[in-house]
Amino acid sequence: MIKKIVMATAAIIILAPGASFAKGEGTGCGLGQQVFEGQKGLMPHISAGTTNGLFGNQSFGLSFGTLGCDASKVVDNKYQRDVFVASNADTLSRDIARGEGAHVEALASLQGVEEADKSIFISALQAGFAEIVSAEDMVAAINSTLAKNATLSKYVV
Amino acid sequence: MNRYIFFTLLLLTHFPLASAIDNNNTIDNLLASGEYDQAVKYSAQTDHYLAVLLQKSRELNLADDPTWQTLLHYKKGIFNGYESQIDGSIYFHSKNGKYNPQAELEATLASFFSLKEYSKRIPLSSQCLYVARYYWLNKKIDFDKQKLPEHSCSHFKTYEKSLNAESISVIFPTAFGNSPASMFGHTLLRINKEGQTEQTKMLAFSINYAATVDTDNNFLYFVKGFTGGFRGHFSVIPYYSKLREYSEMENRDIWEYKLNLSKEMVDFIIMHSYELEKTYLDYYYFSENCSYHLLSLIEVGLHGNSFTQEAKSWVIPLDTIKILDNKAMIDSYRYEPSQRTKLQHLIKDLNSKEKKLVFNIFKNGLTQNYVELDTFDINKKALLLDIAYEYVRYRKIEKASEVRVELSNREREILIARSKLRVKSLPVVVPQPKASPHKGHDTMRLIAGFGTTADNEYSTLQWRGAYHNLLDPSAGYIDYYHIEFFNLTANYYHTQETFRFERLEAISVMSLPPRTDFSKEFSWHFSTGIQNTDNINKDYFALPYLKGGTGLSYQLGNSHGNYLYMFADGGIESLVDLQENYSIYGGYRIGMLTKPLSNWKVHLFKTSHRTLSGDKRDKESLTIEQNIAISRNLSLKLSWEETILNQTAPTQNASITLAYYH
Repeated sequence: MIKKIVMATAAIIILAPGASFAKGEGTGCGLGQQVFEGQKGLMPHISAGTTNGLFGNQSFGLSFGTLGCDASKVVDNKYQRDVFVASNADTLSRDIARGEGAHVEALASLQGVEEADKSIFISALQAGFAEIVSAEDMVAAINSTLAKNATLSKYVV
Repeated sequence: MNRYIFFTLLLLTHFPLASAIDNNNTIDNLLASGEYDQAVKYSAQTDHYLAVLLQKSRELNLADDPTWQTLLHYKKGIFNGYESQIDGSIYFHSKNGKYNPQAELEATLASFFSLKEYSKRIPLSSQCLYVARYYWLNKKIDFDKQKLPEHSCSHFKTYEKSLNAESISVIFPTAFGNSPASMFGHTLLRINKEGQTEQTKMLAFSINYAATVDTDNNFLYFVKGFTGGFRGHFSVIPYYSKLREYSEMENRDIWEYKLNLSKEMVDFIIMHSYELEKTYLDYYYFSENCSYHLLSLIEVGLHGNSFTQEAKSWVIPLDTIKILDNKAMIDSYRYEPSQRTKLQHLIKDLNSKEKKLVFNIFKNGLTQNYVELDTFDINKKALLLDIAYEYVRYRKIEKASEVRVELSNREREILIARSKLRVKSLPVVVPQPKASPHKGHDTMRLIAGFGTTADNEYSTLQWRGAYHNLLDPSAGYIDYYHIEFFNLTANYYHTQETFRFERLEAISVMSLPPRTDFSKEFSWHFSTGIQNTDNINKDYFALPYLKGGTGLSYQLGNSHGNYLYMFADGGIESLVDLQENYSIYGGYRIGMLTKPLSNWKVHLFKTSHRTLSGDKRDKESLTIEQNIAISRNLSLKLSWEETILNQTAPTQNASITLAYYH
């Protein structure tokens, strides 16, 4: 209601080198679609600081096949995880470094981590934090950290 | 000649029969091309299944059904006509649909037969866009799927599956920054997912109604916002995006209110949200704003239990939550502190050595402070790094972009060091404030009572439109913010037997954020209105005034609700019966606001004004005002004031009144 203060960032630039989002085949559509379209270097885009972050004026129910994509991809956990990490890179980083927090719990949920393995998941990410936070592709860095761990490699997605 | 007439008449009588054979075809054509009003009209003479449905809908009087009314957002006008609050033409299938529930219902039934898609951007048939209407009409009439085939609507199914709705919460972010006006807050919905936990709730979708602002010009923003010049849209995006905006960027505390809704009601609301998302409504800042239309969306889930009827002509988000509360719609509620509140909570428990270290890390980075940091044990170190990170992040918000990059590097440095410690942080738990905003006093206020001066007695009546006075009971409000709109005072003087309007204060705002070593904000106040002349033997209710000031405020002692403040003030007032008939003054004000008991507030302040220009109006005054809360919406107010005007003899004014909040 009140005119928003346009904040050019609340700190997403923690990943200063700029994590770009590897545009793979079959990236979903709708949410964050505009981000993935030929975008290299998410960070400047995010830091433009629109009030809806990555989503701009997009709205889920309006996401359609007009861009030649499959709307059902949006239900896909992997896709949701990709958008989540891109939107919350800094807050997720904070929770990973702390070894606790709602963002890393949410990530665990999106990666399908079982309750019993959650603690190991969070510790492993905390241990691999320096690599994760310096990587160009945060999702790939997270996955490679998981791959190195016998219990967690099954959660690579 | 007769033969020709005979044959012509014979031919003419056969036309109706001939067209009857063609009729179903005609109707199908009309339906396919979206001419629903026409299709409705012509179906009457046929045996098309549409005619059957129309007949049933009329028998059941569905157009008058509260559910139909709320689905279409019809409001009764002054002359008993209807008007839908929806403004997008896509929402109506009948040319007169916006004003005619019956016509719209019939045209909607017709539209269900059609495969026609709305547009390239919205490639859906009516059945697949107006899913709530279809669901409800089908339930009431029971469509024969052979005669009216059901479309498969995969896009809606994806929407429903993705939202995975189990319950709905109203999310209320409260005030932020040094802005009492933001106390009005905002409301949005969060669609809680099946199996959601407190930790994963940020993954839920949220539904938000807001104006799409197409101007950078402040004046236009103001005017268009009040007069419906902007379009309002519903949007559905992940809650984490909104959480980021409110909790992290704007540092607003959030209250969540989980609604009492059956699964069927939840599903129906989700269906309706899908319908609303494709259209728009004219956005009116006062009346049809974010909170109002969130209510109008939720209303459908209650089969016509009208909330929006309860709304006053202006809608404050908090009032919408109270409406839900009054209707027993709130199942439970929860407080989620902002990042800033969490930070403040952590910092207050640090000793001065620890605070200094945090500040130094912010100022100079980690490298210079490693030695100092190493003097602490590992868990303390972890805590200090956590706090240092939050502090850097918090201070970064106000900085220019070059400094922000440097601070971001600092943040990364801190987090890397923190992660290497390998210990887990404890979750930050901020105690939930005793009173939730929806349990606070109501926002309109009526005051009645008596006053006395040295040579007079008077009865007084005051009415305030909104919102919260510094002296009003604080429960549920931020106690150092004051904002009032439309405050009208009238007195009746017993000796003179005269009645006068004394003051109409259009707006009065005051902000007293207490300065700590964590946050150093300035206090400020501003008010404007019109008032009557001092001379009660005259009635001249036409003297505008404007005043304001800036200053400092400090918390007194350790408990909440006690402040010491000082202002440098200035103002201008219009006068009558004097030389210049205006006066500009400058001065100061020192005050103390205290809460000796939880329901007893005392405000003591001294004001000093010196005339800078115009008529001489030097003033010294001392005021003590008190509020004793008797119940949530009833308070006793006592006031005593001594004033010295232009160095003449002091005059006193005391009053005792009852305040009723509604």
